[in-house]
Amino acid sequence: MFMDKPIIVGAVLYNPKVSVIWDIIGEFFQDNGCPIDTVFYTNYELQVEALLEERHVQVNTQTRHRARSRHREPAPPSKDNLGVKSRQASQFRRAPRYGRQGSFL
Amino acid sequence: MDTERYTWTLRVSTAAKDRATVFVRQHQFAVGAPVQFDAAYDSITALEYVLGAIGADVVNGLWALALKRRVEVDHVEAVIQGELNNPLTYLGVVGESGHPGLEQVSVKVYVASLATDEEIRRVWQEMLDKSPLVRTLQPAIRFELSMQVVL
Repeated sequence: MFMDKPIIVGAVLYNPKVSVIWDIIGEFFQDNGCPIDTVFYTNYELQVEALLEERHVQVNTQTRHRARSRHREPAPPSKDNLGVKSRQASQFRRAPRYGRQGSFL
Repeated sequence: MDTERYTWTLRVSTAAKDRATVFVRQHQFAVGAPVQFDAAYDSITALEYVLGAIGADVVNGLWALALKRRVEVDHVEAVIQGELNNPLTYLGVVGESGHPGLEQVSVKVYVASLATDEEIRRVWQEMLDKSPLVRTLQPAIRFELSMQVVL
C-alpha cells in the first residue's frame, strides 16, 4: 500500500528533544510507503480540540506517561470537586488514544 | 568620515535538506540545519556556527591583543552556552508563544597566563571593545561575559 497524501498526526511536545523521535517515526512511515505529517501542540487540550474539530489532525497520540502525570495526586473527593473531576475524566476518556479518520494503527 | 565601505561577500548554496555549503574567498565549509536537538546529529548547525564564531572572536581577539600588548598568554579557552527564547516555536508547536531567536549567550573565558590579573583585565576589556560580534550582539541579547585567569 502506498499513500500519496500524508496522514496528519498530532502530538504534544513538551521538550524539543522529543521532535527527534518524531523525525525517526516520520522516516519509518515514509520508508514504508505511508507518509505522515506531524503537528505539534503545546498541550493535550489544544490537540484534542484540533482532532474533534477535524482542523489539522487526523490521528492523535497520547503518551501513557503524560496521562498518568496529569492525574497524579488527585484531590480527595468532596462535594465541591466531584463534578469537576468527573467532567475532566469524561473529557479525558473522549480523547482517543489512537485512531480517527483513516487510521490504520 | 570619508572611508570606503568594506563589505564581506559569501556565497551559500544547497541542493539537499540541511546541507548548505558556504563559500568564502578560497575556503568553504558545510552547515547543517538551522537548529538541531539531536545530540547525534552529524552536521554542525547554523546556530552552533554562530556560537562558535562568538567564542572564536573572543579567544582569538584576546590572544591577538595580548600579543600586541606584550602580555604573555599560554592558553585561552572559552565555554559558550546559548539559549533560544522558545525552541518549541522553531518546531512550530501550536499554542507556544515567544520566538526562536537567541535569548541569552554566556561566554566564560579561561586564560592561562603568568601575567598579572590587572594586565589580563586590561587586554580583556580592550578585546570586548574591539570585538565585532560582541559589539553587535551585546545590545540585542542577554550577553554574559566572564573571564578567569588560571595558572
